[in-house]
Amino acid sequence: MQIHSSLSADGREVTIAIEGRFDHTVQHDFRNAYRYQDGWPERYRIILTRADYMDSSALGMLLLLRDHAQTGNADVVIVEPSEQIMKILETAHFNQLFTIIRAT
Amino acid sequence: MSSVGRTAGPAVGAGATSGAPATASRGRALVVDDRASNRALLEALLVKEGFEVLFAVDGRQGVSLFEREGADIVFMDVMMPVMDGYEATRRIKALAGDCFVPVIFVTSLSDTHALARCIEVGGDDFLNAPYEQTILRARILAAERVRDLNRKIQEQNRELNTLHNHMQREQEIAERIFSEAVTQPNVALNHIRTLLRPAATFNGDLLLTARRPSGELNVLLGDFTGHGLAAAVGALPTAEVFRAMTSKGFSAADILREINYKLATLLPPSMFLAACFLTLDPAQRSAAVWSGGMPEILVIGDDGALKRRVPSMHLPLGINTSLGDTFKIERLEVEADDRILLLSDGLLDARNPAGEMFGRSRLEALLESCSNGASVFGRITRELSGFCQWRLPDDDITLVEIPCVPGLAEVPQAGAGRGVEQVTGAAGCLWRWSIELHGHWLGDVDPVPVALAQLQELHDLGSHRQALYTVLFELYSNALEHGVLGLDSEIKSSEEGFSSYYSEREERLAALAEGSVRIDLVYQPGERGGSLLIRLEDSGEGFPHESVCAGAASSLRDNKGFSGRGIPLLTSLCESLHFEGAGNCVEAVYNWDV
Repeated sequence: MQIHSSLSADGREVTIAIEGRFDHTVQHDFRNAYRYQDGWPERYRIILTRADYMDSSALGMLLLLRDHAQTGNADVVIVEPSEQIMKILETAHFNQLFTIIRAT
Repeated sequence: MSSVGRTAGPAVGAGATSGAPATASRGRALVVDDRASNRALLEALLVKEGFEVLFAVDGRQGVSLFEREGADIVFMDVMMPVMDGYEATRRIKALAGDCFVPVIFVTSLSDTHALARCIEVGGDDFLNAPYEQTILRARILAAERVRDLNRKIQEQNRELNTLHNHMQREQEIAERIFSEAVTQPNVALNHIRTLLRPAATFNGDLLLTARRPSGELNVLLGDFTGHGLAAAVGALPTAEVFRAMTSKGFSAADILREINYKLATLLPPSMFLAACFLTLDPAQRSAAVWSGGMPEILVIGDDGALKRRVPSMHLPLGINTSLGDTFKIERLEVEADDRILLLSDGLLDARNPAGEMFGRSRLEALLESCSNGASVFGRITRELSGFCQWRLPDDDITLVEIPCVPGLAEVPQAGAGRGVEQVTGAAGCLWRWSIELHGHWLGDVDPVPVALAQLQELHDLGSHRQALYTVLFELYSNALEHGVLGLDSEIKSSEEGFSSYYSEREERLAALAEGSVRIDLVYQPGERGGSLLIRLEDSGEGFPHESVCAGAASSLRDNKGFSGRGIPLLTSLCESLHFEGAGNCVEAVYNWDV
């Protein structure tokens, strides 16, 4: 599995971790990772520490998640994108749409 | 006794079939064996199992019988006269082709090599004689299971093939429509070099070019999310807005705002258009650029050296319905013979057979190596095809090189082209249109395309369109920039001043609370053609028009080019040009007549 998702014990936060290529091949799994969580979390954390590539359909998936999160008034946070992925996010100016926590 | 037999039920002679038992037939079994006792043993069992049975006494008869009658399962001896079981199996398998017919070797050979060869030549199983009936039954069941599975796959393949062909036909039709609507109307392609390598029949990358009424070239390179048909659907509305608004003379900002709004309302949330936009006027040595989500735009000098990079400055189009406060068009100064390079990220992400990406660093190295004057476009194209080899692109790849050559923009000319059209209607009839803009409306609305559209409604402007646009545009720019905003055109004459002039213009326009411009158009049809009176009045202080006009006339004589309120250009296009009062009021007459 390239995508792991979990719900925090208090039900407030959904964590979705992506490994390897974040592209159209994981579209289905990515959507399932946030769609079928019970209740309305307050935050979605997308962990990209171990993702090494991202294409434009992945940007599209993030927009879908943002749409989904907005209906529940939740935040989407992108965590530790690699330098290469950060470049893609910056080119698309996605920092205007998402909070991005960079690797230290 | 004939060597060829057919039996089901009680054994009979040559060519006979043993009558089918009461149970449903399991199909036809072909038994190839030179020994009568072996044949009889198999026959008894197969008939009981519900098979119709055919016989052959050697390999060659077996092959010809199979060719003539066909079979659902074959039982094959190895050692036979004329043709052995190996050769017969090879031929039967070749005859069967895609249709799977299980061949089970029944042999008393126990040599492991001989048995292994049974499978090598195409056999599916082997059974050592003597065998137990239960084992034979089990082997038959297993063979049938594999055969049925194969048949099912074959059937599904056929269905898939039909479906695939159908889809391909539909795609070809849609592709044709797309190319007619999106690609065909592109202009200036004799100047622009392009590399387009779509990943699917439909290109998710989009290249549009069109000319503004004033002759400048508008270029849009876009990259829709994903690729294929789903990515290409957005190309139709984008091309439509781009062409319609360009031909009406709308600014880059207005066109981008409209495309963005249209795509944001039309496309699903996961789809957007990363794009760069360029308005190029080589005569003015300037380019207006914008980029949202695209790789850097590169400006290359005529010696091949990289002069400037323009990084993405905004979100891609189609995400939010409004482009927001950060939206801004940048102005570049370009020299004649500069080349502007646009590329989609498919180029950077292109992979070679080993899965390695072309990448930014390879591109940078190429740019570096081209500084001795080699063609960057040619180098990148060659390097890319050498890199990818046979591997097809995962994403659409586009590379565009736009040379800043004078032929790229068409200079508007008065009275050129199709000549004068007869205007019907009695002399003395008038048509009048006017608009007056106050305060912040001056920053929000560009009245030039609106006025031009009104004129177009009235009369097919034909070849006069470009010239009229230029006249209206120059007059309005003077009224707004020098009149209302109080900008000094002298600033523009220096290299650095050019961009500071436009940023100053943006600032003052954004802060504008008062001031006004009024435009009046009066059209009077004449005997041949007609006459248009254009009158503009602004709230500014005016300017010493008498001395400026005199200076402009001499600069035109000395061929010093168009500077200072575009007065030489206006005089060359219009029948007459008069400033009134303090200079805040101007009247120009444009004639259709030659």
